[in-house]
Amino acid sequence: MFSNFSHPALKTSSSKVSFALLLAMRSAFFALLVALLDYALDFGTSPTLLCSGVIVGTIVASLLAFSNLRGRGFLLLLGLIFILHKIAFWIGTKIIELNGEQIFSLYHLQEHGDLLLLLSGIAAVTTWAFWWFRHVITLELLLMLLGCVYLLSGHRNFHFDRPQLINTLAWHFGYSPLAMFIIVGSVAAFCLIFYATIASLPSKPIADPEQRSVKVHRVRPNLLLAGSVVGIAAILLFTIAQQLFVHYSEVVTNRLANGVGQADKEGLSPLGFHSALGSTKQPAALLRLEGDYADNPHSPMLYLRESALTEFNGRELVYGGASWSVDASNTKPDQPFQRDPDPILQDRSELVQSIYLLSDHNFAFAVDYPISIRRLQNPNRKRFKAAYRAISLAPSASIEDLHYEPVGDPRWSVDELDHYLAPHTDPRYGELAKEVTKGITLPVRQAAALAKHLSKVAIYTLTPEHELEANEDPVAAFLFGDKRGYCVHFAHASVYMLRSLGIPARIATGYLTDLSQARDGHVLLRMSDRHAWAEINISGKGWIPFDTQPEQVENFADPQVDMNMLEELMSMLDPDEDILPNDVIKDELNVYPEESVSLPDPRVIFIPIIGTLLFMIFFKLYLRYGWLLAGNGRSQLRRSYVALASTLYDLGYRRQSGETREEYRKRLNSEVGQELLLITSKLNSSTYSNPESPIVSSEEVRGLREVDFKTLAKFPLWRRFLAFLNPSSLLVPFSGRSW
Amino acid sequence: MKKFISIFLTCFLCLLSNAFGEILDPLDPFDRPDSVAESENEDSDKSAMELIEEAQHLLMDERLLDARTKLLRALEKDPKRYEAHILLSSYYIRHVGHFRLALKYIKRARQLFEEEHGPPPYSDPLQQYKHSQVLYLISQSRLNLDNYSGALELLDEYSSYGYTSEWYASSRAWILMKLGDLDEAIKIARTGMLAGAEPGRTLNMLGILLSMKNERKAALDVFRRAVLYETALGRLGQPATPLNNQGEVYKEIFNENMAELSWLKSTSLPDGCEHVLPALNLALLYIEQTNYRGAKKTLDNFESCVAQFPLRNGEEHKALVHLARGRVDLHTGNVEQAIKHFESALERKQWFGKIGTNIEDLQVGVLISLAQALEIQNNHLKKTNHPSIAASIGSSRVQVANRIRAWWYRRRARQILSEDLENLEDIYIRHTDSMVEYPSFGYLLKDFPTRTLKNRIALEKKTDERREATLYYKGYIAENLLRHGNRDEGISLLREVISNARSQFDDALKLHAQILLLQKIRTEDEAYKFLAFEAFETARASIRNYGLMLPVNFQVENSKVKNAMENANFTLDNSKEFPYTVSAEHSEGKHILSFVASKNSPIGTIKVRGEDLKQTVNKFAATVFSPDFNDEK
Repeated sequence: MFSNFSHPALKTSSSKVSFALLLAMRSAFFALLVALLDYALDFGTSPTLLCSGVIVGTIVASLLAFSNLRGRGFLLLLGLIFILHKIAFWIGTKIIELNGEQIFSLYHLQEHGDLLLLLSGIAAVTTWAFWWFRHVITLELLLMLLGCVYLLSGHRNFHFDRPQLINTLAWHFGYSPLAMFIIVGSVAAFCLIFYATIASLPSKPIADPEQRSVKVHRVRPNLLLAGSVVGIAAILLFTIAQQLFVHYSEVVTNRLANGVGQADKEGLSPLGFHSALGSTKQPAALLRLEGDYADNPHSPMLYLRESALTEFNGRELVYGGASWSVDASNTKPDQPFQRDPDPILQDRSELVQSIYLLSDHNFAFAVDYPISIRRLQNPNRKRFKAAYRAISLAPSASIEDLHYEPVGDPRWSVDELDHYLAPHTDPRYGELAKEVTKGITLPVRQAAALAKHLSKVAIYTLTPEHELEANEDPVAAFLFGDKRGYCVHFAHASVYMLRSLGIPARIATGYLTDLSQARDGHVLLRMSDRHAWAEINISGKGWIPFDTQPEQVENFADPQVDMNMLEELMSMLDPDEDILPNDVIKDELNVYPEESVSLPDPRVIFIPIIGTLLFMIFFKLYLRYGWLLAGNGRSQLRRSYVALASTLYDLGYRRQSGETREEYRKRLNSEVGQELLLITSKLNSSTYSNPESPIVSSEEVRGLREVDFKTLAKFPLWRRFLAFLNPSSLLVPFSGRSW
Repeated sequence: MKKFISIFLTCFLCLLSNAFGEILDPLDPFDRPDSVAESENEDSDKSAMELIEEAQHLLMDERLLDARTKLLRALEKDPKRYEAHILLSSYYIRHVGHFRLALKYIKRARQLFEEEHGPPPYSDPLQQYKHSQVLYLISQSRLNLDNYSGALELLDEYSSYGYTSEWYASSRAWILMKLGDLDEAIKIARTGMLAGAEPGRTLNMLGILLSMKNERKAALDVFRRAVLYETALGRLGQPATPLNNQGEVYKEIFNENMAELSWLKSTSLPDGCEHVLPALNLALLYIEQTNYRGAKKTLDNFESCVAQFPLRNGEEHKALVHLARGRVDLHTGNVEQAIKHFESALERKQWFGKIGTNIEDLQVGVLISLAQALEIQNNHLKKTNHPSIAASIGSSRVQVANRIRAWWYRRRARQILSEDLENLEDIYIRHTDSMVEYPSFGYLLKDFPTRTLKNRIALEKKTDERREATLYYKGYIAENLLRHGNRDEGISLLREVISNARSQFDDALKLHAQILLLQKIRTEDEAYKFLAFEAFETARASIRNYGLMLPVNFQVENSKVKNAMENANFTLDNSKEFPYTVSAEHSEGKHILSFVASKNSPIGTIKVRGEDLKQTVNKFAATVFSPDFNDEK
């Protein structure tokens, strides 16, 4: 196998290092590619087998590229293997009579073999081309970049959770998808740069004799150059990645959450009007209902209120401060909260919920009207950010029963009433509201008529993307324009129209979830469940959601909940060990589902690496101190020479091809300016003398060796240390060359 | 020095506690279990047993979450109250389907029970009852976790103590069936019936077992008795399940009328949409009869029925409904919608525990369907008049991608079918687990080596004596032969299939054979025309779906219109009188294309208008070659 190192293109040590590095990188790349493809496509054939196949294909093609085989011969060889494979199975099908259980075994073997041959063939052909043609690297890099761009293009419009693998990795490691997206991108870019740098160094061996460079390069400058480029690239990438993370983490929360962010400052709105990218399924929290909510008037939907927007600032509704939304807790998730129930509120029942936050939240949220919020012990710090238990007074009256109720709270002052009735300056809202509610006098029915009207005429879309001037009313473009919008548009339009009719209204923000996707009272809240809705105040009942359910939907967030994830999170809330010990089912079969993505055990990666490093260290020690193990003087002489020559090799003073030991010694002495390798003449005479001649004495060898070692000790310590770390000398015994 | 040592020891102990326990923040007043809320709740002064009793009442009232919370509170008060563990386990099996947690609770209950009362056997009847309950719940949890031998072990233990119960026979028979011991399972179910087992469940189980042993007549008789028993229970009964199983047996013996009747009855009962299988079976039966309207209506009815129960878990049936809807769309030419349905079916995670089928069956069904749909989309694209070169290049790109995807899906489907589904168990015609109609299987089986397929079919025929099934096997071999270049033998078998297919019941098989034959003969042949008209009358979309041409008379002067028509799926020919005529006129800047069928045809007249000629012809072809569910009889 290593006879290929005698190929003219692989003569220099720098080209050998390049060859080994590139071969390792290509093998790793193909194996990774196969593993990724298997994750995405599910080959149905063992990925270990396929990975081994592509690695073998890469190695064999690399060795053949530097053999006497030419292009046509290589392709013929591959074709022959493929044809032989087909013929073998064709004959097998004709001859072997399979029945019973084995009836398809030959066919299965053929199917797996086809795939193995296809993938390893692709790896082999591209690797062959890589060694033969200089410009293949450009093409390869282009293809890799295209692949990366294609895969990561799913992240457009802030979808940092695409492709799915990024989301899976982020969940596994407990990072945010944005962080994982940037990490994956940076690592991919770094690997590409590293590969491109090594592959474009002049020391890269070219198998084609016509393209081969005649220059002989020393390995040190090449590796130094490569190291500098890669190092600078790593620093640059790290800086860019960090800046990207800082920039996007500010933008992304609002965009990914159906346009409903979490701004908590007075005078600001957490709502965005341009586009809502709610199709993301990023988990936001796990809600656990501690009791039944049979009287839920919105069943199967459940509203969880976080904050309310009451103040109109001339352009949109904004957060008016805690005093204007007293029914929300207005506390942070880690703050306790307690109040006495409002005595005026009727038709409400107590509902206890535990909420386990999976992403950062500025406000604690709960069903309707929380009267108590207490922090819970975090059941899993790696997964949950915080946990709290809320007790709410949840409405139990059906909406139909409220039609005859008056609106507003009789305890409000004039200022308070004015605040909740502050109208939009555009008279069109009032005109439209009057037109829609013509003939209806009861305010709750008017509200219902407006909600019905909007649900009929407007289209729900996550991407309305209205082009607006800085101070332009974003809701007018929706209601009086193309009528395309999402919850933020619907809620604003409803509130403006309701207020124009004298109905106290506001926008509530939080989550809207579907209880039909709950399991054992556990609901997984995603970013796509973030919602904004209109509410009106009904006397004696409090703030009641009057949400719109559009009949026409252009696009919407996929409501399907990942049940595996829900179950995984539920299992973290299992009772304590004293109630339910884990080991009680340790001997049971099929208890835990197989993981869809199983990341390799770190030991699987580190043990071979550590093993290889240890092997290298021991081998180097053997090269340097092998004379300690030698028996007679002749053997000691040989091992002492190897120890000196390998040290010099790692220091950069190498014996060139065709150079005799004596010539090497002379050149070395003139380059270093010191008398080195005094042992050479003794070794030459010992090697080429009659075996019967007297054996060299150990004392004599030791004397010569110690002189040489003393000379070597004159090299600076750092150079000797770097030389010890330099693995180049380890390759020499395998290259077929002598010291 | 002492001070230093004590600081060092404190730090060391802190580090140790961090290493082995959960990290608590000593400076955070809230980083402690929530004690305030618990002390506030109304249950604080009740004993664990009182809470358990309350929970029992709540469970009876279907207030499940309240009951669960009470039971957990009871356990917080007294972690050794095994009664709470038993009730929680039962709750997780019956109401949540969370079997791992159920097993955990019940195994803990067993430990606590034996700690309190000592090892079995017990002489006290109450202890015996509770112990039997524990064993039953462990076996049920293991059964649902597919640990059949573990479940059987528990039932052995159950009977070794002399416990008896009305559920025992059916449960044991089910486990034995899963372990492949059909004879023993039948014996247990029969003995159970004599020994007073619960009749509905046991009879249903016995029926399934008998049908698996090919004793279909006996199975039908047993199912009839099960239906009668369940119906007699009134609102408490669940006759839809035995009716569905009865329908499956009727379908297996090719008694389609009775199968249809069973499923129609099953879907019309109050428990008819408890699970999707009756509706799915009925839809598939209609598809096999090319009654796509009936299939669509069945699925519409099922979804309307399910919509009445908003809190029912949506996961359970959606993938199957997507698959069936996709198949209807595919056969009616609505290929884009079909692809969307199949992709949704592939993505959804189906919970299969309750309906007794497995995910590989669904995967195979969806993969075959997707591959078919992509190839059909290519056929549509090939016969489309592209408005520009860019559109034509775009179409070619889509076609290449579709071909690669279809190849891949077919490969995976074959692999799952032959590796994971017990050497192609679905080849048994009308196998109850199959999720696509049977003529479509030929599409997948054509890629197997002919000899392998013939051997497999020969093996199946050794045990399958149903005369009607033979025709399907011939169809599969014919398609396989054609694929491998054995044209004459393939065509001869196809002709046999076409001439022997039963009217209505084998319509889809006959249509499939006709399509295959049409692909092999020249459009000028008389046989082609006859077959094409028949296929078109059976399913209008079939001609376009498979890239065939429909011979029509024409009244078209404009050569551009003629070319555009011939680029679609029409062969314009006035040399003979055909049942269909197309005509074209141009008035007020609009092209008006008409398709007129003869009086005997149910299709009638179709008119399409448009400004752009190519787009109008495309729309015309799409309209002619897809049934209108609103207009057709």
